[in-house]
Amino acid sequence: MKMLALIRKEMREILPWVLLAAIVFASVGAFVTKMEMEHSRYSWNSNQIKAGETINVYHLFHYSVLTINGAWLFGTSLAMGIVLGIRQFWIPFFTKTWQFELHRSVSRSTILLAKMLTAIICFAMSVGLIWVALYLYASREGVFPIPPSFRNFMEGWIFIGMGLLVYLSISLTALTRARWYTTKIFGPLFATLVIFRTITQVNLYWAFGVLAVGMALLLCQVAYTFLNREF
Amino acid sequence: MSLKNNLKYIATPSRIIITGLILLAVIHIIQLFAFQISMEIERNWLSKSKQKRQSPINNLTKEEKELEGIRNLAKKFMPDGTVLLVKVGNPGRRMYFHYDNNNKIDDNATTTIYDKDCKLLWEGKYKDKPYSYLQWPQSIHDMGRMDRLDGYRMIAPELSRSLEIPVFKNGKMAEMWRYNWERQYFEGYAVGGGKIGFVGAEGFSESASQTVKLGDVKCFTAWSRQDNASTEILIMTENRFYEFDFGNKQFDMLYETSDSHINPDMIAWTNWRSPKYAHDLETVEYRPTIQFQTSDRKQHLLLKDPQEVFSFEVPQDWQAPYVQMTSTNKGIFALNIGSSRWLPKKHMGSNEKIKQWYEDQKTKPVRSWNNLYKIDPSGSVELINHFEWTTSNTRIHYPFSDESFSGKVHKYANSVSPLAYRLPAKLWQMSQQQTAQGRRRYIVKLARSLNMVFPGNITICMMISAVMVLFVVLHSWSRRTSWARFIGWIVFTAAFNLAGLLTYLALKHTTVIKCGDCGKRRGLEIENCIRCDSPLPIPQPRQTDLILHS
Repeated sequence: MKMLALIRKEMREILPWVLLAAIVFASVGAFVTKMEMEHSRYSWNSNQIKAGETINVYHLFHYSVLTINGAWLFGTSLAMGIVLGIRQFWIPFFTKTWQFELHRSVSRSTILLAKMLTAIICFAMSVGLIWVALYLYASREGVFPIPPSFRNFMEGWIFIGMGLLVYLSISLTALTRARWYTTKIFGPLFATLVIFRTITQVNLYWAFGVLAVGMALLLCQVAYTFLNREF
Repeated sequence: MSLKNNLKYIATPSRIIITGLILLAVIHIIQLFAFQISMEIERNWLSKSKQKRQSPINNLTKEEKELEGIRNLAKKFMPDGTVLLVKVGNPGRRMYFHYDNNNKIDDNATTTIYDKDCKLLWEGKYKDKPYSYLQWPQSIHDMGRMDRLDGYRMIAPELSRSLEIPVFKNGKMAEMWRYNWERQYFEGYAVGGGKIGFVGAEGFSESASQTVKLGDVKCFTAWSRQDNASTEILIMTENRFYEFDFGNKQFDMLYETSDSHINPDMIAWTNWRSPKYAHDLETVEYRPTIQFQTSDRKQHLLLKDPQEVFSFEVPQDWQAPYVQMTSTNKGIFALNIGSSRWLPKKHMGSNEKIKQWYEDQKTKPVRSWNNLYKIDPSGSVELINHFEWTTSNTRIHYPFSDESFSGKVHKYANSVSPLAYRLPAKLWQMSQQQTAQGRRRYIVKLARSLNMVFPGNITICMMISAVMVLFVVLHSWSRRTSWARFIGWIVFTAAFNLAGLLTYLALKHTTVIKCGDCGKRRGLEIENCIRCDSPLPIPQPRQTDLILHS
């Protein structure tokens, strides 16, 4: 019950941002999908390949019909991660409400868990569900000449994972008591390194693995700092 | 034990890892910047005047230079062993052949042919040449190497790209075959419809469960058929060659090896795709051929009409890593080339020997040779002709010069790289491999990416590391909390050099005070002084405290 109450409280605070992200991504996604449907009717005509000719292998690699939506998903996830991290862990310092939040009959670990779960639920509900809907719609017969690949769908979830990674890094930056010119900025720097390393992967499993390791390291730091520091 | 206490054992190492990785990345970026800037400075300001002074070609007369140019032309052999020196293309160009966009020689290219004594025999258009010399398989320029196409497969913000093979019927796209990287087979889609099938190592199938993996694709090339624009693709995996015709649903596994790997760097072909691509079909007829090398140093010819494989073990004394072979109506020929300018194998592995060898070569003329062999079906080799020529000393550049400005910058900048990089010596040997298979490919990639920041000069690196360690000892002596942590930080700094020192300072630069009892400096991370074991001083009680305690 206490956990649910905490989650509801967190949801109330971050709901406007979650809705904004969902509305932006859904509307842009729908518009872009419609444009892609129009464009795909004219792509890959036979003039591109002439009989008896060598095909430039680079021309055989095609963007997915979800390419632009994927880019928007990437940006929206990162933006959501920054906003949620600031809202949940930074704003209470400015409004001086940490003591109000922490001096309750719940443990700090419960409060932290409620925040994390809320962030995960928000990512899943706002960008996650819309991404699933876009993929399912694009995969329907007749919408596109060739449906998008399942790999592209999983790559979208990697982008959502990157958003969570950024959320953890911003949380760590907010919670650490170090100075900006020392190690306070290391959270976002580490997230940048992990995102860069994930983007350069060609294997999906390795990409998930790198992301998972990065999130685990940051999660340890966030949990340790939150449970031990004085507010 | 509570979660708070348990987390300490994970959080502390993770903090060190995060900080260490970030600082290591920053240091490497600065090193690379320094090296690139030094190369630009050397290229634009320092090297131009030096190169002019050192070039021995400027000492030749005009006639001698002309003769040098002819000696350096392409060497072509007739089937009977006669040598011709051939130039195809515009005067002054160093390329020996002109190819159009479809890898076909330009029939109207100016062609000049000399004999082995540099006497002019003939000049005119390529299509009119009277000599039908042996043509060798051409490297497949348009072959897609997967390790070079990784950029398309990266999980970039615009999503990865798919390898898709279209099939056209009546001028419109009717099918699309997409390669599934994870499952390693092709999935076919009808345009506007659903899946129509799969293509794997055993050909076309209707369900995914019946489809066998192709294997890890190393390279491929594709072309459209002359008759109906159906697309054919030649795929090379670690140990197989496949050929697919998606339009006609035809499949062929051309070659398979179980005890070696195919080298993707050394694949060439002749006349494979269609007669339109034949190079020279006058008196010499060429069978459709794909030539490639396997990791056991054997050369192979995949032949059509009839389909067969000819394998040839290259003799150890043949210098070139690449041997050219062709199958004609006059037999199978092999060309082996050599030069005194190629680094002998015995010197490899020692930078000092390599450097000394390059210094010796600077004053010697260059001796080169081409050997033409005929190989009979049993594999025995007959030398048809050995042609040798000498040219004056051209510029020779020691590629690993640490005397150049950029070389010095590189040497000193890399001295702050972690000493720990030198420990897995085998890793660096692997980075020199041209090809690697399976999981080793990822290790080779990692090693190559760190090659630029590898600490080359061990002496300077260890000296700098020793200074860092000394600093850490002096800094942490008064701040130490336990011997294990003290020694741990020293080892960490010794192994990771500058990155280790900066990580230590970022995490351990804490306040020190004077101990009230022994007067020496102590840290605040533990309650008792590390030297005299006395506790932290307790502040004197104030007036307010007296009221509370009374």
